[in-house]
Amino acid sequence: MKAPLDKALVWVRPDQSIAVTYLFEGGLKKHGSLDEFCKQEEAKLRREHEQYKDLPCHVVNLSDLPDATHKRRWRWKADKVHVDMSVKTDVEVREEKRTTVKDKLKSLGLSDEEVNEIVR
Amino acid sequence: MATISKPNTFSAGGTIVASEHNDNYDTIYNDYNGNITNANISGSAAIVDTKLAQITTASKVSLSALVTSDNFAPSGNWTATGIWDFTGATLAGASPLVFEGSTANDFETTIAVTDPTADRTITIPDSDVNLGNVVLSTSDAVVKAWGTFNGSGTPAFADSYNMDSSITDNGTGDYTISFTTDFADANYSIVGTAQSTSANVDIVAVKTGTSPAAGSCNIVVMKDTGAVDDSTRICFIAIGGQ
Repeated sequence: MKAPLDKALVWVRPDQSIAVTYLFEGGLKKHGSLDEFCKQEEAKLRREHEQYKDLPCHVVNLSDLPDATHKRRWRWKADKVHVDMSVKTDVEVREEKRTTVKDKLKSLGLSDEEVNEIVR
Repeated sequence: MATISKPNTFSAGGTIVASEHNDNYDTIYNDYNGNITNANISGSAAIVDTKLAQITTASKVSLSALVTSDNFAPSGNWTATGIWDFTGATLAGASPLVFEGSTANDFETTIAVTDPTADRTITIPDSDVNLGNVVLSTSDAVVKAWGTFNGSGTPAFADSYNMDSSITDNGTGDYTISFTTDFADANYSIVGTAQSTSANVDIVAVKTGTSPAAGSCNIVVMKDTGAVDDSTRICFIAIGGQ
């Protein structure tokens, strides 16, 4: 198993949601030092992908990241990654939409089996 | 032994004493029987090759002793058997090895060496290899990057090649994978599979609205329902020019 290195890059979107870049050994070997690797990888991702181009990027210790159990609720706050339990994950949002659609279909008189077949 | 000496000299009319005669004879006898040295051989002695070939001291003949300069430059056809130890030797020239093959004709196979700019090592594996079947790692026909990683929680590679630069977790089932050595351009081919976390089938695709870049690619993992999935086993390979 190749686990990530001790440092990670945190990209902060305008809504304070984040993307986390986990760094691995291959890049470290290529760039020689972790600091240089962080710098080069940040530049590479900014250069190659529009979604990171203008986002603030922070180097954090992997050990400073919260437990990954609530990873989809991670938000950037006060120069740290926090867990915001009031945030709905995209999976939860999607499930809510599915439930809403199911309820509407049922209200039209479709059976559970028919509804599940349509929604699936 | 030094050159052979003559301890006693006899003159005409003199008396030959037995002991003096024996002294002269013993000197020649002892020197001849196993004690001849370089000092006893004339520098102009034309010792024939067949005699030199019989030299068996330590089973070796010192080439440097047989030539008159530091460079041994044989020509013609040589037949060698046994094990030759070239440890420590360096073959000079751009193509020091030329193979005739089983038929002596005008066609040979030459191993050419591009002038190295640093020390290089070519390792021959402990296995049978037919060079006619070898696809060089620089070929566009071989996989240039592959990896299997857990996309749930903190990403970690089960194993990888040239894929272990970074993984960016953009959200559920949404990752940007970064190559350690970039491709020459964004025209490489990338395919993937993923194991679903439910009874569904997972699909791996380049994320809609993004384009692969030479050094990285944004992929998504989705169930066949369209829902994104943090698969615990995401596999992919990429092939293209570097």
